[in-house]
Amino acid sequence: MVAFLSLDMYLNIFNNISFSFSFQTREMAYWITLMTFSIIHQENEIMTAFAELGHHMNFYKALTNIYKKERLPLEDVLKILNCLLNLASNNDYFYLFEDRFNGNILDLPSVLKSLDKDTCAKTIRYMNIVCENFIYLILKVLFEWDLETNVKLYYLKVIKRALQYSYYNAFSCSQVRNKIKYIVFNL
Amino acid sequence: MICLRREKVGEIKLAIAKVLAKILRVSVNVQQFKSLLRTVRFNYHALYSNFFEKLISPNVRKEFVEDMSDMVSFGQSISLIFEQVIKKVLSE
Repeated sequence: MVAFLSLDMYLNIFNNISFSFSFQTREMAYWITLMTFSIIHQENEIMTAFAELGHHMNFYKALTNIYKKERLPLEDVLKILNCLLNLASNNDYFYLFEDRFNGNILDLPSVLKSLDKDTCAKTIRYMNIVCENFIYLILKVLFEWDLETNVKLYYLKVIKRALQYSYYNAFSCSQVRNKIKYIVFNL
Repeated sequence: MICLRREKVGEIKLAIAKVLAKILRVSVNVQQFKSLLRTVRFNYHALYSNFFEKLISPNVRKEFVEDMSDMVSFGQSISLIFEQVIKKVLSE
């Protein structure tokens, strides 16, 4: 159904449904993320419109409100963060890393160990960051929500690997937009 | 850099510094460098409140200010930013 909607209708969905704060439940946070994921991946222009119209911050505010109200468990937060990383990398993260762990990605201590040693974890370096705005959201979630050390460490390591071997990724993350400002810079 | 100053765990501080270094080695302009050095000021949140308020959500600003004012964390962050980030970026 989503595939047949026009761009205007997508944006109306964002404005009227997903960001209305009247129904904030624990499940909604994950489903809002998934819905955004499925809608944005339909067309590139929607991704651009999403960024240009500043919907990232609305999206983040919606998630934060739910997090504060419901005190989301770690499992849900990890699902949201993985979804955001998939959005940032156009699913590269899923195919290069997440899929290989067959659902054990939520077991952070073992994943962190394998991230340092496992050969398959080295493939993260080939992750291509196509929408750096979601990296900004991931950083905001990591440092503004009250998360465990392991969670922060894991996502920082993944981002570091993606930046380490790709000048393109590093360059795209260094770009500071007028509307969306990075947490590391302030222009 | 704000996150670097806020974090108290050394391992995370180091990870943030490495991410910063990876970004800066590719592209750093004068404005970015100036803004990075601005965050080195101890009372950044008071001196550059407009930047700080734009970057940090209202609900967590208080915690950020408290954590950033910690002298030990501040000292570690300064040494990390000059040793791990700026020195590395300039050497590359």
